[in-house]
Amino acid sequence: MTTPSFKTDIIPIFAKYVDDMKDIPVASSSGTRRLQLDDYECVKSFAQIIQFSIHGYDYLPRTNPPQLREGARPLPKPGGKPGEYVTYVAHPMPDNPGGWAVELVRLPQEAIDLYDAWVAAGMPA
Amino acid sequence: MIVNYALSASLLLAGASEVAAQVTAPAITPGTTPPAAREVRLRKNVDDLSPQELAAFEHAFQRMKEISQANIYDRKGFIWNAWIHNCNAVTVLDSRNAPLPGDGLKKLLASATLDSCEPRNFATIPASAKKHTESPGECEHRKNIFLQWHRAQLYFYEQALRSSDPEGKYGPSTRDVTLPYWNFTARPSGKRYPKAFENPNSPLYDATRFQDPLPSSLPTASPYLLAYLIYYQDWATFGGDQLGGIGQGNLETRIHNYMHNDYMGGKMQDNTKAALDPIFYVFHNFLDYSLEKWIEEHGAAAIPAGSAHDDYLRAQQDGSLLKPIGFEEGNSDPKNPAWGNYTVNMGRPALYFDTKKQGFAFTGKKNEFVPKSEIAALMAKHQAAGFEFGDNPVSLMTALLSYGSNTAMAKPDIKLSGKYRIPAQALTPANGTARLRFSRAGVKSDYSFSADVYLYPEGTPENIGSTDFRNRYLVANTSHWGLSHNHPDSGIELNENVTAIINSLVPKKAGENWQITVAIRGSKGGKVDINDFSAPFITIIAPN
Repeated sequence: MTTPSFKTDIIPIFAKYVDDMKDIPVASSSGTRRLQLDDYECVKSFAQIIQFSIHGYDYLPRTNPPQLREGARPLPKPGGKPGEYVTYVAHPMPDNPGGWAVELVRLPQEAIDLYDAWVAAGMPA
Repeated sequence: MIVNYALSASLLLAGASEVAAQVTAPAITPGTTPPAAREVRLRKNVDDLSPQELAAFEHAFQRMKEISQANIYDRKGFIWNAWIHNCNAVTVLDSRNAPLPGDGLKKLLASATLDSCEPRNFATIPASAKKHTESPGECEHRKNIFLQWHRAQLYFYEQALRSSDPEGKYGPSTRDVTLPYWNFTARPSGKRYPKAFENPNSPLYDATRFQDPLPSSLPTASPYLLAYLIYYQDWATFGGDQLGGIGQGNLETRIHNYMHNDYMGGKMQDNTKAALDPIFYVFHNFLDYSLEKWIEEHGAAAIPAGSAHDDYLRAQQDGSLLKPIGFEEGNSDPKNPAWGNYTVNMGRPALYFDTKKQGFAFTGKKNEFVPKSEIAALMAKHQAAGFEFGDNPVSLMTALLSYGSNTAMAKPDIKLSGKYRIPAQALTPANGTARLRFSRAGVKSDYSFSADVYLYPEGTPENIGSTDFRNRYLVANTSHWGLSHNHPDSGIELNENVTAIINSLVPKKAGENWQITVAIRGSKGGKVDINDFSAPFITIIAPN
């Protein structure tokens, strides 16, 4: 598998969400910016927040304890031990104002995997 | 309006007697970082304001409203400052000038439902006029920067109050106004709120709030619960955890949420409208005082490094207001010169940990907070060393809540139950903590609710209607504030550390099955759907 690039692989993932997010200011430890999902520097700046958000639907709701959705590959918990994953995200993305079934809204697993691979590769342009 | 501040060279210590700010030092150029030492001005309980101080405070609010009436986009005005909390995007005329004449502001403030983030709802915005979008805010909730964001907001708001009429051209000088706080864990001086906020002729009044007098002789929010959170909880539990962690902090859920939803109501029930009610600022100022008490107890170094220190706080403030020492905007959106003089954010949270450095402190009034010794005594009585949960007819949580009228509910709307087997060995810091959890799935329209959680032996019938049952087995309670502009599919979780309780059961109850029941009620008669909730459970979280 070739190393994913922002231009070739990441822009298409977020293309249809660019307009929704372009006026929303997001904060990170480097600054505050309106989230431009088609801008390399912006996405790189908020890479972790975005990664958490797109993993926000990994676990099935109302499960006790949290159960992983079929086919999902969970996000390891930062600073956690092997086998510890992020099970709770305050703001999963994409947004779902229509209240559609999560399966219709969640990014395809291939897109989430591609994004994870891009982050792991150091976020090449 | 250009504001010149004169700063005293002497530093006042927090906890000292309340001394009015007398200033003698040279003026500074607006918008620049002033010299390192600032005079510390003390924030008082709103009921302790002198008549002159109250008059100046009211006048400052009135002037900020008038500034907005002259131009809703003026960043030192009441409306823009409300947008800083309420709105992440607003339509702005390219001219950046839109007056709100006549009864326009009055009509806006009379409504608890009008969406002020869309100026076309209350102001004349010609369809043909050129416009753009700006981002005044928005508030941060359900994060580990919830408290820091509001602290920064109040810092700038205090500056805006002072700048509203420092020369006293239209009324009392506002130069020395400090933002007071409302201690809502004490009986209010008015029927339901501080007296100053119940005068219909005052600019502090808001008719959309709940108006009925308190039914109880107790305050609604328990001062003992607040003190317990301050003295005995770490940052993640008190103020919120980092991304991927346990979520929002207990000061937000246990105290703040219920007050917005169920106590104040009106515009205060909606996060996109709340800051249009003047009581918002004195309410949040007491939460900020609570943050300060936590920092006094634990030290700012106990706030973990990372986002709680460093995530820049989003808001567009007027560039002429006095900025905090050390202010910088990081690598952020470039400024648009056509948009005037403004900041793109409020800087980093860590700037605000040392309030005296930034020129403000709280009065340190006696008895404003329950002393730690009293909480320790309560813990010794209800959760003494060697205690076994369930043996004491009054659990610690029940005892803490009993000093307020917001106690466990006898008639919840729904209940869900789960089981837990008491482990064979006690938990230690080396092998983990026991966390009680339940969750609500994301829903199309986020709704507010309160929840009480009980832990009891499997053979004991669940009897939440019984005072004895509630008193004995209550382990936790929480309040969820449904947010507008919230991502509808974001679920919520209660995540409560019950290690001490579980460990108390190990010696004699190891291997036994216990029941966990969560009792939930919608806020102010609002509906809850049992299908949205998971059953409660206890899980062991391994240490990092």
